[in-house]
Formats: sequence, C-alpha cells, structure tokens
Amino acid sequence: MQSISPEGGRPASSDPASEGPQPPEQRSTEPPVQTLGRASVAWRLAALLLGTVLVVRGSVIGNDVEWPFGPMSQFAFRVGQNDAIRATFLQARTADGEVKLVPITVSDLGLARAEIEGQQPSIIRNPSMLADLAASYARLHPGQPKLTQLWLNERVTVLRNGRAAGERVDTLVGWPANDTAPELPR
Amino acid sequence: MTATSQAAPSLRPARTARIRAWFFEPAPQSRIALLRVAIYLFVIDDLFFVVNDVFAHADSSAVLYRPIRLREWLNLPVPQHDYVHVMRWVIIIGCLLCASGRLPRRLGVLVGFVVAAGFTDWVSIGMSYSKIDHDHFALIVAVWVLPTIGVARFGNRTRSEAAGWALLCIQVACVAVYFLSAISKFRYGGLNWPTGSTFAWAITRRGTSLGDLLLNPPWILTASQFLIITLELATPLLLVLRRWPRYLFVIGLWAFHLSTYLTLTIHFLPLVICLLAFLPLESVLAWIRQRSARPSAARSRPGRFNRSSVRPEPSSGSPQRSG
Repeated sequence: MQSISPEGGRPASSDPASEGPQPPEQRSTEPPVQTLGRASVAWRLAALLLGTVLVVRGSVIGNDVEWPFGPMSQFAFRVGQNDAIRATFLQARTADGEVKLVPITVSDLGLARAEIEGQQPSIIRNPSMLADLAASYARLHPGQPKLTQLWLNERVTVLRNGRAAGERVDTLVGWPANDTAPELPR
Repeated sequence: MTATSQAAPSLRPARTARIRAWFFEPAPQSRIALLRVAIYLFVIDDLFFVVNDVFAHADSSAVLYRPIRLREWLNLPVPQHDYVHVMRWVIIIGCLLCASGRLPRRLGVLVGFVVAAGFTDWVSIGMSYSKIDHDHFALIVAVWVLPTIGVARFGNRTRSEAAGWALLCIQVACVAVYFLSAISKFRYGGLNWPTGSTFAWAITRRGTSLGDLLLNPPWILTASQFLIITLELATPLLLVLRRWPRYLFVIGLWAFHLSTYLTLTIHFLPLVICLLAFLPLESVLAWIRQRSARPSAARSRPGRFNRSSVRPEPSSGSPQRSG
C-alpha cells in the first residue's frame, strides 16, 4: 500500500543532492520521505472529497439525524431583540409534600436540559413521559422521597431592544395531574 | 504499482506535483506520534468528562431514545448498561495502545479502527437523545484517519505523505466545523443573524456571572456576534496560511473557545484538541530534548539567543554585595 522511497520524489524540494538515502549526519538536508502508491493516493483523495461533500451538504440542506454529517446548527437560530427567552425547568412535589425544583441534569435525571427541550412537544402531547423522569430520579436518588407530581415549566424572559424587561413562569404540562404548578417558594 | 511513469505525468507535471504536494504535504512521523498522544488521551478524557452521559442514557428507559440515522442503518442496539460498559473498556485500552506509538503496522491499523468504530458508536449514543452537537466532528474524523498513517515513532524525522493527508483531513474537518457553523447561522437564522439576541439568549439561559456582565448594554453581544461570524467565515484561510500566521490564527481560535467557556461554560474541547493538527508539534519535542540534553551548551550557542554575550559574567561582582 505504502511505498517507502528515501529519495523523496518531491519535484518541488529544490534539493539537487537528494538522490538516495542521506547520511544522518547531514542535518541541513531534508529527512527522507515515505511516498504513497497510486492506489493509496486515489482512495485518499476520494475519501477526502466524499467527506467534504457530505459535510458541506449537511449544513446546506441536511438534517440533524444525519450526524456526524448533519448541519453545524448549534446557536444557528436567531433570537430577535424583542423576543422571549425560554428556559425549561422541572418542578415536583415529593411523597412528603415538599414542592421543589429538580435540576434537569444528567446526574439528577439521566438527561440534559436540552434533551428534554428537544422532546418537549412529545412530552406535552404525552404527559406520561414525565413518569419516566420520576422513575429515573428515584433510581438516581435512592433513599430520598419519590416525586409524586411533576410539572414541566418554562421561565420566560421577555426582551425589549435586547434587554431583559420582565420574567414569568409558564407551566407546559403536568403529570399525573395536568394542572398549573404552584409558585415555588423563593 | 506496475504502470510506467512515462504516460501519467504527460500534460502538466509541475501542476500535478503542486496539487499532490498540497494534498499530501509530507509531515514528520514525530508530529503524528505526538498528535496521537494528544488525541487518544483526550478520547479517554472525553468518555468521562464530555460525552459522559452514555451510562445515564443506557440506564434510563428507552422511551427517550431517538437514534440518529447512522445507528438505524447499522442496526446498532438500543444502548444497554453492559454493552456500553464493555465498549468503554475497549476504547480505553485501544487508546492507550495507539497513544504509545509502539504498535507494529498491521496491529496498529486494526486497533486504531476498533477505537474509531467504538468511539463513533459511543458519541452517537450521546447524540441519540434528541440533542445533537457538532463539537465532535473533527475528533471523529481524527480517530478514523490517524490509523491510516501506520507506524509513527517519537522523534523520527522521516516524513510521510500518508501523515500529510491525515493531517489535512483533520484540518479540513476543523475548518468545516467553523465555516459551516456560519453557513448554518445564515440558513436557520437568516442573514441578519448577527444583529439578533442569540448570545443574550445563551447567557440568560446558562451564563456564568462573567457572562451576565456582558448582557448590558446589548451592543456588546451584538458586536461579539459580528466578530464570531467573521472569524468563522475566515477559517478557510487556515488551510492556506503557513507558519506564524497560521499558528496565531489557531491561538486566536483557542482564545475564542476560552471566552465561551468563561461566559457560558461551553468549551468545544474536542475541536480545541484537533486544532493541534495545524501546529508543528515535533518542534516542541525537539526543543525539550535540546534543553534537557545539553543545558550547558545552550549558553554558548551562537546567534541572537546567546545569552552569555548579553549578561555579564558572574565574576563581575554584583551578587557579592550581601557580604
């Protein structure tokens, strides 16, 4: 596959004395070069071309599920200067009646917040998916009171000309009771 | 290779040679050996600190599993605890072997591809719960192309075209991540993406206290958005720049990643590591060796770093004042 030719075969190397292996003492001369055979050159060029086409295609017309050749879409959306900024959070009532905020992290629920946000529409259509989060929580917090009621909420920050101009909390969905979450104790 | 070399370079031999020299610019084995250490040790780190949610995903129920298309095509299983546990050990051992630079050629290629397949599987699990990141693209490319180089020993100055191609692939992958990020911003956000409040959105949702300082007045973040998109659009220059302009560009990108880490705790480390493919790593090794091998000779070297010609000899008296 790979042929070793100490003479280098680099026409552009501009070293007239580069015929044959060089003595190691000659520090000023270029070290030997391992060149590639024609087949090795061909498949490498083809692979590089194919990969480049695929990745460019991904960002121009592709879709996330085509990872690793999906679009480079992190932070690619635009938020207007008067839009609302939404951040999802989980609120729960425990078996002993405490209402609290449950951080949506891998260590607390086995998932990151962006992953819950990515599935938010399905969770709203199908609130029992929250039961799954309660089960994950119970598994990751043995010995702590179980979560008996969950609410998926959004903290909404309203922008005016790019500045925060107010904040409110919306309940998106609750399980098993699909009601509005009580205000969290500050 | 049985073809005679008479027919092929008939038309424009100088031009084909130039094209070949760009795609296969020979790179020293030593650089590859060092890059492998960095990449493979980082992959191990990645398993524990970057895409570290695979166990949690495998353990939580499969309801939230949304496999990316690659996993469906290859019929990869819904991740289970034992499966990912074994895979992690395979990747760790493979990475240590590849980083050692001591594997013989065929075994090295085999182990390298096992690591590449395993790591791709691992990261693709992390991307199969509806949040898909692009920070791993260059690293995934790196683990697939590094095995194709074959043996690369530390300190060996022999240069190889295979190494040059592999480095080019990693470099192109890095540039693709930046440049195509800008293209995606125009695609999804519109041409007026830079005038929006996307950074304010990010900082409001997950900013650090340092990031919060940048929220007001809003023009600070608008200016940063223009700066970032300009930087991203300029990255193809990395492929044509050489020496210090190229190194300084890489340092600039590292500074950008440091700033997003300090303001948003988003680090893009898998890409940060791959930027090493633009740097002459072997000269660091050569420099260290020179330093440690002949500490006394370093003083008498000729040239502008000859310190003995600048500094007065100790015998000239100033340190003896304390008596």
